[in-house]
Parts: sequence; C-alpha cells; structure tokens
Amino acid sequence: MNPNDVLAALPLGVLTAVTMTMLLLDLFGLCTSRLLWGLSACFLAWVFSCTQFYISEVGFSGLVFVDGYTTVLSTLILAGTALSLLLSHKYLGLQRAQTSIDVDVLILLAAAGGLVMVAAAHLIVIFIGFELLSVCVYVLTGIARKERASAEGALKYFLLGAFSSAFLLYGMALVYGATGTMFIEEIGQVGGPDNVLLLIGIGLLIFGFGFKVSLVPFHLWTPDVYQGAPVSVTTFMAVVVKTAAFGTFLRLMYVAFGGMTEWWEGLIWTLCVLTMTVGNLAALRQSSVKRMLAYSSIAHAGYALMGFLALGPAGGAEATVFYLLAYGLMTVASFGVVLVATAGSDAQYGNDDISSLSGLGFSHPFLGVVMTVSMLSLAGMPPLAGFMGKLYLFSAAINSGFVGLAVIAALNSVVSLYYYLRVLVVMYFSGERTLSWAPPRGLEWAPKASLGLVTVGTVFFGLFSYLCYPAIEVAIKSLG
Amino acid sequence: MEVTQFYLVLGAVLFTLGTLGVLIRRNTIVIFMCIELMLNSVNLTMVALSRQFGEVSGQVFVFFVMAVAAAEAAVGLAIIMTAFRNYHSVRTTDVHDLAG
Repeated sequence: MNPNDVLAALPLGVLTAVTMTMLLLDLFGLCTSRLLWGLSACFLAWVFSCTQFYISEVGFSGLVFVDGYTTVLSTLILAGTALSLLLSHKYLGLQRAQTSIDVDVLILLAAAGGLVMVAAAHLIVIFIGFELLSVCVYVLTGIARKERASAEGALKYFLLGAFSSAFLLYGMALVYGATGTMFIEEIGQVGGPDNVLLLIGIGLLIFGFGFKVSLVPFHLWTPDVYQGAPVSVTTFMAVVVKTAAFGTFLRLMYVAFGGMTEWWEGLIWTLCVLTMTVGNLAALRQSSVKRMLAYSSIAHAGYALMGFLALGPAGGAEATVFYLLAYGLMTVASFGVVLVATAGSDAQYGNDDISSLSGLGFSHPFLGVVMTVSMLSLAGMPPLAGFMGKLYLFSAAINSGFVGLAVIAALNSVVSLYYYLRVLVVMYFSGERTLSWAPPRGLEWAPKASLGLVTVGTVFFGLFSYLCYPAIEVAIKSLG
Repeated sequence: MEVTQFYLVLGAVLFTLGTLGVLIRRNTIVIFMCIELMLNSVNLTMVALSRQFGEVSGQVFVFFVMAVAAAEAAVGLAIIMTAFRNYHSVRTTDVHDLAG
C-alpha cells in the first residue's frame, strides 16, 4: 500500500467504521447519542479528507483521485450531511417517520457513497458510489412508510432512479467500447470526437447525471419526491445528493470529455436554458411550499450548469463549485424552516399550502429571519452568497462568449424574484400575527444551530467570498 | 470482429425493449423487470466488449452491476410492498396522489 492509498481510504474508512460502530452499539442499546456519533463521524472524515488538499495524484492503482477537488467536494458533502443530521434530530418522530437508528446510518452511508463518487477516477468506482448513494436515499424517501405521500415518493424515485442508472450504465459501456478503457483520464487522452459510439455514450451519461441533478427534461420526479419525502430527507436530497452528483458530473466532463467540448456544448446549453426557464416558470404557479422549493432547486441546477460551458481559464468550473456551496447553504435554510414550521402538523405531507406560513415572521421571529435571508439569497440579492455565486457564473459564461445565455439567466433571476418574495409577503404582510394552526413545540437546539449556521454562512460567503475562492481554485487546478 | 458486433446489436435491442417496457407498462413489478432487462443488456454489451479488447475490466464491471442489481431488487421490492400497503395497488395509475 502506498501513502496515497492510505490518504484516499482514511476519510471513507473512518466514516463507515463509525457508522458500523453505531449500528453495533445500538444492538446492545448503548448508542445513546446518535447525533453526537453522526456529527463526529462527519467531522473525522472531513479532517482526514483535508490531508489530500495540496496533492494531485491517484491512489489504488489509479482507481481514485487523491486531490484538492476531492477535498473541497467532500467538505461540501460532509457539511451538508452534518446539517441534515442536526435538522432531523428529534424531528423525525414528528414527521411520523421511523425514529430508529436506521435513519442516521442510512444518511451517513449515503454520504460515504457521495465521497466515493467525487473521488472516483474509474467508471466502475463512479457507478458504485452512485448506487451506494442512490439506494440509501430510495429507502430514506420512504422512511415514513405509513404516509401515502412518502410511499408514493419512494416508489417514483426508485423506479425512475433505477431507470436512469441503466442509461448511465449503458453510457459507460459505450464509452468503454469507444475508447477501450475505463480510467477517465485515459478516456480523455484516447477519445476523439469523430467516434459516434463515444458521442452516444456521452449523451447517455449526461442523461444519467441529468436525472440525479434534476435537469429539465429529466426532472419530472423531483417535485413529487421532494414533496412526498419527510422534509429532513428532502433537505438531504436537495443538498448532498445534488452536490455529489454535480461534483462527479463536473469532474467527468472536465477530465474525460474536456478536450471535445464543441461536441457536447450545444446539448448542455439547451439543457441549461430549459432547466432554468421551466424550473422558474413552474415554480411561479405552485401553491405548495415544498413543490415551489423543488422547482426552485431545479432552476438552480440550471444556473450551476452554466459553469460547464466555461471550463478552463474562463473560470466556469470554479464558479459551479462555489455555486454548489451557496446553493447548499440557502437550501438547508429554506427546507429547514419548512421542516420546523410544519413538523407535527398535516402540512408536512401535501397540505403545505404557502398560506400556512402566514404570520410566521411574527410568531417565530428567528424562523422569519432565516427564511428571509434564504429567500433573498435564492433570488440573488446582493450581498448574499446566492448573488456572488450568480455573479461568478454569469461572468464565466460571458468570458467564454455565452452572452445570450447570461442574459437568459439574468431574466430568469428576475422572474424568480416574484415567487421568492411571495413567501416573505405571506410571512410578514398577510395581516396575521399568529400561525393559523397549532404551532410546533419550542425549537430544539439542534435545528436552531443548523439554521443559524447556514444563515450566518449565507451572509458570510456573500460578503467574503474571496476568502474561500482560492481554495476552490486550488481544487480546480488539481483537475489538470 | 463480426461476432462482437452481433452481441452489441443484441444488447442494443434488449436495451430498447427494456426502455419501451418501462415507458409503456403500468404495473410497477413489470416496470422493475424491464429495468432488470436493461441492466442485463448492459452486462451483455460489457462482456462482449471486454472479450473484444482482451482485457477484464468489462467483466469485472458485470459482477458489480449484478451485485448492485441484487441490492436494488431488495430495496425496490420493499418499496413496492410499502406502496401496496398504502394504496392496495401496484399500478402507477393508482399510486398517484402527488401532483401540481
């Protein structure tokens, strides 16, 4: 075993070892503080993944990358996992979901799948990470199994997820057939654009990843699944699954197919415009808060995709990674408020009409502030993180000559302002000062900490984005 | 060379049949079987290519696909069961509350 293998294995090994220990201790009734165990697993895995930051090599005979990109994406995944664990603490019971240790274990194992994916340097490893993540999340979606909505969401997610991974696999098979190798760096060296098999393979891979990050037209599952799943699981899906899939997708396009951008640029451009526009227009006419946020997350996937068109010196890859950070922060905040505000009521599965938030700003001032910051950031208001993220993306797109795309994205941002501000209007100006239904119990410290952290983060990374941008630049440099 | 091409064509045909099945059928169990058909067509393609190139990574991939398909089947059938308990049906047209 050479030192790189150890560095690559440590974060994953620690995360899975702690998770397995939790399961074992729970068997004897000894795992008393699941939250503490889960958080320390995330923290330890993060510490070990930091050791790879300044390296740019491969481990396990070329199967995984040991580089800064892995570190940065692992940081996002683990932070998202920790925040989801904090949010689900004590709240799963209120969501009529299973409260046993399975939930925490599945969340941690899904995070391990995400870590495998973003480090993968070989098609088999990408596939294994992808499925480890997906299978855990299928189960998590249906974890409130007495709820019709949860069961329906799980069924839809499972069937469409398995369908899309078949496409991903067939894409991998065709790429292998065209290039004779499964190492993504070698694919980049061997592959030429005159190869029809390779082009079809790339198309199918984009289909598979497009499903996971919910690009239009592969987005049809997203609103139903986001609405049907317990809100703490929805948060995890919207943040961690999307970050891991986007991170892997970006690495694949950059390393394996970065030399033939002119052959897939048109496809990505179309997907990008469709995703932004359809996501925003559909969000306009939603009455359910969860569905509205689901369509908004589709629209944001469209923005993040803009970076794929400006790889290299234009700075698109950096902008996409920064956008994933900003998107994660604001999404945890918005779904977190919905979770806390609807917990224990019928509003959490289906009846979460936007008017159920009326008066929230006065009855729960803390939640009001968190929601306000998150909505303004999602709408792209300066000086919040969402604004800086869009600024980087738009300027990257303009740098590489996609002015039209930047204009379409800016128009979309204006449209999105309407439905984000509607939430604020309902919260503060509906004339009500109390919630219309029985308010949830006093706020637990764990979700409060989670919501506070992401709100501070949204403001901080908006004002001081230049503090974290160099780290992202190191990461993208390590891609080669 | 020609033999490999036959297997590739067979793989593509099976994959298309599976895709059509997923899109047309309404029974979730049958849809799930069609997905398995798609996975197996990928396996066939992988093995044929691996044989063509004279190296093993395609065949190793097949083992992983089979293992993952087994895990997916376990989870998937459990999810279909949960849906059946709530809706007393496994047809996609019946399991359909969420929309908007």
